[in-house]
Amino acid sequence: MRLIVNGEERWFDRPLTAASLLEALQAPAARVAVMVNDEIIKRDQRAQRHLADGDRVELIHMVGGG
Amino acid sequence: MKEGTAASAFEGPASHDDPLVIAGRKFHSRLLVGTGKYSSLELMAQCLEASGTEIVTVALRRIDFSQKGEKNLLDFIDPARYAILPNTAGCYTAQDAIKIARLARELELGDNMVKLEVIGDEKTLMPDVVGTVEAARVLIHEGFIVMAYTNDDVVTAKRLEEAGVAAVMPLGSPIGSGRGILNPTNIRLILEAVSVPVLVDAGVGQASDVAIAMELGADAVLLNTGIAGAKDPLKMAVAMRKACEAGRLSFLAGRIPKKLYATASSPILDF
Repeated sequence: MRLIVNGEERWFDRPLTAASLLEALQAPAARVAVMVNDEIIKRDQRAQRHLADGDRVELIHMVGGG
Repeated sequence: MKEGTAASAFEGPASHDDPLVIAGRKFHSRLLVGTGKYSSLELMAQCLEASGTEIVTVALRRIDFSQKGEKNLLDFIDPARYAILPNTAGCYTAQDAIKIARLARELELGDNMVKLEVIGDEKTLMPDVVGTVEAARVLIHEGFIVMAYTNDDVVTAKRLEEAGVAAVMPLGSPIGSGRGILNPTNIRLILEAVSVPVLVDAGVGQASDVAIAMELGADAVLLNTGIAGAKDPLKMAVAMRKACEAGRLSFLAGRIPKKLYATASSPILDF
């Protein structure tokens, strides 16, 4: 499936959920907030949220800032 | 004063008797420090410690997957030691700021507190106060504890207080400009007009700027570039800490009035 992750096109060879996407990208799940098509996916719903072809996913974390 | 410790009168302020209280949370340091722009995370951690701060701000951004193996900010900020205050830095609309605040809440580190910033101009990074008030109303309705970055206008400060913010944060001068407190009169007017804590945020260039803000009666000062951009950030972090304490003590001590003419300090010479 094709996903747009943080603005970049990526292809995956199997269907993914928000949770399995984090695993596939080796993103630290506890430190990441997830949005799919502008909808925030709560932590306890990530495993149930199946991703569709063309979905826009934003993976956000804390960085230094004022 | 503790028994048997004669020097205690000259120690730092009795901050345990003079805590900063924001939305019912007590802090002993009146300095808030940002985590951006340091040359390394190690240096950042040292500066935060040296500053004595208890509240640090962080921003939210996309994970950069090309930076695999990069150290993570959160490994250098102990959440048991510092309250983490996510900010909506970089947002130019109320909608974006609301989105970022909701995302920040998902990260479960900020205790529902958020520093709200809605920027209105790229060059000066001055706040869009209309957008800020709008976003504040929505976020407060959703249960956030909002600390709102704003300009130094008393009416805006009142509108934010009416919306229910936990703190008003007027700028001293534009973010990163280092020009200190450009409009002390307006800061004082804001202090008189609102009952919520007033934190001077943005524009601190050197330690005396912090002291000046505290002497005006500000409840606290937030700064980032003033430390991170200094030639010796660690030294400046220490200076900022001392200036914050000195300014607060000076304010509490009650300055002498300004007079046109002199008043001698010593009795008239009589021989």
